[in-house]
Amino acid sequence: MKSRVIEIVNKTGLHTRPGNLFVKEAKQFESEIWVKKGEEQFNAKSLLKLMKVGVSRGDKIEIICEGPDEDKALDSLCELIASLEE
Amino acid sequence: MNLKDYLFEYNTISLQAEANSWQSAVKLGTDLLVEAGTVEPRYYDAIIESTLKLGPYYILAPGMAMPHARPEGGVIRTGYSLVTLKTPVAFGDVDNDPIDILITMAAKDTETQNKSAIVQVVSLLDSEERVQWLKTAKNQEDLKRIFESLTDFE
Repeated sequence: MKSRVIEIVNKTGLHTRPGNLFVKEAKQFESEIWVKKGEEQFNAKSLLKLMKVGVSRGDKIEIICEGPDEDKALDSLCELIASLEE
Repeated sequence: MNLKDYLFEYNTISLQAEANSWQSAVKLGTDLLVEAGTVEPRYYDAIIESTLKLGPYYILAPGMAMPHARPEGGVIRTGYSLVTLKTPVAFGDVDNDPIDILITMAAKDTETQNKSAIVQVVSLLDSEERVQWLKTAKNQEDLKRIFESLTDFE
């Protein structure tokens, strides 16, 4: 299992379109992937869960990956979050 | 006003409707909001324009869409409409097509959109049982019963 804490820096956070991009990227991987924000942990491949919890600019989230491609999944998702502009 | 109250207060509901394209499906939802005075007619154009540019960014899960544009796309006040389709239509999202439930959302500012409006929509749809009920609702009475039976949804 691999995990990393990352701060959300883009303006709209993981609401709406950036959230959709994040979930689509997570779905590319075979590993189980979760996002933890505060006390809440949810499946990173579910846009409904992501939007329900709501991840905004300034939030620190932990991305947790477990499976055969966990390293690649973690790197890709962190890179995606860092590259979000809107 | 919350999602449930808004739908019934302004009658922004169309069940088992017919649409022959994703554009006409979106229009069913925005027309209800225009009639209710929630958005200007250009809100439809804003959604279509963004979709053509960015893809259908508002598809939430298999069968479910939450069409919306930015507040500056013609929002008059925060509101919602509910459309279910008799025959689902494809939006071009391979994971989630075809779509037969659309909750069109309009928020007066980004803060309201992200902290309140989206949360209400996804809270309603985050239950397979509830979604099945919505799909089978034929009229407002059915819908009222569905909402009344939801104790965990305000």
